[in-house]
Amino acid sequence: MKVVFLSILFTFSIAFLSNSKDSLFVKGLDEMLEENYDAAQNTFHNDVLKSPSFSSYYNLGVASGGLEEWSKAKWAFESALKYKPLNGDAQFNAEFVTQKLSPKYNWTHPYPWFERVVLGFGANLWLFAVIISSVFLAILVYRVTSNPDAKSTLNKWCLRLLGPALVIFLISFYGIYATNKHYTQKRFAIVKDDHTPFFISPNGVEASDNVDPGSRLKIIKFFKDDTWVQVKSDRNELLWAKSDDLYTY
Amino acid sequence: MVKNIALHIVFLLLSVQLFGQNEFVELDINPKDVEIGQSVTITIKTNVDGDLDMSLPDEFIQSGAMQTGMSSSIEYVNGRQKAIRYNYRTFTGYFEDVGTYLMGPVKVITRTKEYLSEEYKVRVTNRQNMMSDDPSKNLNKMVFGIIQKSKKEIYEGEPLVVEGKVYSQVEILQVEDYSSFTFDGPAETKSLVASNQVSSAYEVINGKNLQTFKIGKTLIFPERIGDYSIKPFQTIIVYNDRRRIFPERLKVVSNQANVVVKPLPAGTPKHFIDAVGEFNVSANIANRYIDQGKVIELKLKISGSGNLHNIEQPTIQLPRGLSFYGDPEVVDSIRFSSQGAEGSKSYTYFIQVNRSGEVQLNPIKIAYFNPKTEEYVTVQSRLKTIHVKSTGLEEPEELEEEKKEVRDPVMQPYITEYLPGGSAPIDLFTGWGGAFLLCSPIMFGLVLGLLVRVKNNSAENTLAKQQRIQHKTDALYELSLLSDDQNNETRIDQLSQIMVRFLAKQFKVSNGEITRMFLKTKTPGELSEETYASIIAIFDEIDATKYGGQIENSDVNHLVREAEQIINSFE
Repeated sequence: MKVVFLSILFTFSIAFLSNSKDSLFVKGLDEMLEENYDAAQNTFHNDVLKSPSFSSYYNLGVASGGLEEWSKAKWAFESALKYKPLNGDAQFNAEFVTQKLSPKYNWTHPYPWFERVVLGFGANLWLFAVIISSVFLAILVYRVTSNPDAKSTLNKWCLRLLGPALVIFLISFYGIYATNKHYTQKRFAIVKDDHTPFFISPNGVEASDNVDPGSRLKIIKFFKDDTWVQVKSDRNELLWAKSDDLYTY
Repeated sequence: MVKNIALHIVFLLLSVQLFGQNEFVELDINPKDVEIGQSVTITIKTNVDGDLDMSLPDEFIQSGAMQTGMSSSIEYVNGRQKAIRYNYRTFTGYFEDVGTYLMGPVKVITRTKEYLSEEYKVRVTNRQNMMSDDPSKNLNKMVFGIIQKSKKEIYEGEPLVVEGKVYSQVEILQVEDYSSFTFDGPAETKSLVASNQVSSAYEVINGKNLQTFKIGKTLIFPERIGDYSIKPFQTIIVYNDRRRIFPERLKVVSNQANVVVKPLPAGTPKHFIDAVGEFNVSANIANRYIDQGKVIELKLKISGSGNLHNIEQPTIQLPRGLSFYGDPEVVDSIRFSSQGAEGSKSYTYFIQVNRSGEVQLNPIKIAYFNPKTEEYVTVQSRLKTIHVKSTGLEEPEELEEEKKEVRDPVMQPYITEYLPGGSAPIDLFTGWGGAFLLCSPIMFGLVLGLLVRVKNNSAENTLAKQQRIQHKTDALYELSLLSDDQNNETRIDQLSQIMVRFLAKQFKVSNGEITRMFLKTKTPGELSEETYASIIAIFDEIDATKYGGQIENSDVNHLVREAEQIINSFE
């Protein structure tokens, strides 16, 4: 029991430590205050590379917007939404910069509502639920397997609770899986500028169709040490582009 | 006659005046910030006639005699002079330990009433290390003075503590006409003790017992960098010369001291407020829930020690839509001690909020130079979000801005808070390893449960085997006892019962359930065909012997042997 408690405590301390404000973020704020957007963009960019967070991505978006680098701003705001998908300001700004990129393009949230709900609970809650339900299931399984013929009230309750505990475990397990996948997998791409070339195949023939700079491309797969990426456009066309020509998140 | 009447009138007036005075009890402590061993003078004044009571802390050591007397002073009340007559008691002492001590109140208890004075806190700090020239080089003089200073080199803005110390090889009776040392340059000086307050002690220097006293402790804040000298202090002492009848006077002039004031190192931080010492900042907003257009109060307090009285007002940058409303109010609460100017400086800024919604002010930052670590330090205080309720009414300037925003919308501003949420995945719980880790308690429970189950079954089997062996042993023992019985009918009955009991225990049923039908239902695994046939045969023989007339010993013994064989045939 002590070991379980210490494990939970350890996990949460890791989670909370990851929330502490870093020095780059503070430096970036100072530069924003001085309206030195160039320096602030650089600082927040380094910050997101070092310790990505909602606040760093969001402020990177604001700094990029201040420099009128709308593609980078869109990437930053939508990356911020990856960390806090329900934030209204980030959604507003993402829509705002999308309009700047392409007035005709109708911005939608990158993540479906179900995923937003799952992410809204946060990885820590899912982790807590999965650990608790796993330990609870372990106790129930132990009781049931070690005493199969016992007709005690406790055993009856153990059998009754086995189902709900399993359901909670599976849901939270999915929550952990979905959250981890969400944060580790790159799913979308944004073109860095209007002239980004797209190809039919890696190093192959260049595609004639242009991609709307305000659109969000879905990443299908990466190729050759991630130097090439296959994306699906709004018109469901499968295109290849160099990773360096796209902002991915 | 006329003279007598006049004197009576004068006494009458004086007594009326004295009677008309308000009763008071006053406690005066000087100084209130002292070092260990530093002299503290306590004066009690009262015009009440009664028993005087004052409890002093255990750490306070009274030194010297108590002076008592009567005095009077003139006060101006409503433009009129008023003579105040009172009794006073004065005594000195010092503290032995560091701490803050409560002194007072002084009680004067009369028959009808108890009068109390104010109470004061005295802060006692460690004795400051002072530097001085070597006193042993002056032992050729009868009396000599040396200037002591807290540091040889100080940074610009750093306080310097200077004190005079007199060494005497003769007995000093009195100190007169003290003229303080002077700093040879632009500086602000604050006297830490009264010049007439000295505390005497004895020190052994080069084997000689010298009487010493410290005088004129002063705090100096040099205003410019450079090399400066501290000009000597001088005083007249009255000492006891054994060769003469009356005490002698001697003028003592001290040495001169030097001090270097260095500039602050390069790399001044952005939020530097010319503060040198150790400081902290705290800030809060008095009213965080307001209507648009209202004024909030931002209270900022800088506390610490150093050159607190000379620091600059911190610069606060406001976000758009907020503006300062007049100048800030500044309240100082500063006292001077050997640590420099100590206490706090409070600023109250009035800020008009002309925008609605959640408004987040930037953290308030100040930077200071710490001479101990020789580093610049930046400290900050975060402010909570202001919740501004929209009233729909905008300031004229803001209206134009709002109109402009309608035509050309802008992004939401940057955020200063490090918002939680969106926690990054923990590597430990990702991939198959993570899945295994999360499922491991369940697997552990399953394996442990199965192990416990196998262990329990094994224990049960062992117990059953032991019981079977025990039944077998019991039955065989009972059969052996049966051989000694002479009554063959009884032996036959008992033989039948022993067999039934054995079989009942073997099959874990009651004795009554052992019938031929029951035995027939047993599977070959439980009861072999051969054994079954033997059991049926022995029961048939028992019945035949029992009901067949005379029972011979040999028949019974034969049956007992058969029964033994059957019992032994069970594992």
